Amino acid sequence: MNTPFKMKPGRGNMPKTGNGLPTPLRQDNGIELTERYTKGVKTLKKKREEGKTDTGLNIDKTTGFATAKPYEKSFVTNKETKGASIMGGDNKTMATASSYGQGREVENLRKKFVSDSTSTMNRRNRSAELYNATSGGTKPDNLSSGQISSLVKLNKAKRTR
Amino acid sequence: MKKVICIIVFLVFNSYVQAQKLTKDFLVGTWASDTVQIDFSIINKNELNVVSFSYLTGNYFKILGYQFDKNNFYLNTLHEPNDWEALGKFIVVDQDTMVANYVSDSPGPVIYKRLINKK
Repeated sequence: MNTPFKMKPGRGNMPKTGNGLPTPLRQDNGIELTERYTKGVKTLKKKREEGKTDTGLNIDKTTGFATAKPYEKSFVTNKETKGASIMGGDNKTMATASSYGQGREVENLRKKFVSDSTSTMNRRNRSAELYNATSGGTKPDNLSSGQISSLVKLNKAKRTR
Repeated sequence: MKKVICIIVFLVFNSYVQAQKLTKDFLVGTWASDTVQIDFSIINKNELNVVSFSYLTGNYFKILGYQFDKNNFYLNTLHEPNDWEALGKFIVVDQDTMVANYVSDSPGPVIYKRLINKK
């Protein structure tokens, strides 16, 4: 287009260049780790060396990354008696239900098992995520928004924006 | 007849012992545990090249060093995102299995299975 004058960047509706990039384009994740975070990393390292890590977590030997241990209990039904039981990781019976009451007792036991296993695994997963965030298992740049929120709540990080 | 049997037994035993030796040739290929994959290859005629990757974190390990000692193989790795150093002592279980005893902040054994034999 041939016009009598040229508009410079930043004038009128022309986009600005360089200066004032919108925040989503920034490379940092908007947090600053505090001294409490550094101290926590050291404490967890010491605990690991003493073998005092959370019993619900598996710490990978090659990377130090934590994952939740699988739920060890199982729900077993008996076809003959139509009863059911919850078995522990060591194969010991922890709770039983008979077929009494048209299977209501079995259904209640099943509900208890589902509820317990779900809450335990949720807790372990949260614990693993927090461990990876606070033990130095995740690079600060790679922290998820959930991990960042946890660190901020624990005063282990400060939001910079 | 006795001599022949003795020779056969010796040859079978010898080949068995040879198969269990942990050498560069034995390692060449791809090995994997539940969380780690290691690729061993020979470059520049006789140099062992090691590339290791964590399925768990999606990061490559920095290879700090390796060493053959008697019938063991030692591999020293660094997981850079969290500066996690681990020294693994590898021993052969059979042709396609090795156990690495790790010395790190969380020590213990890890079983590696051969995925691909490049030979």
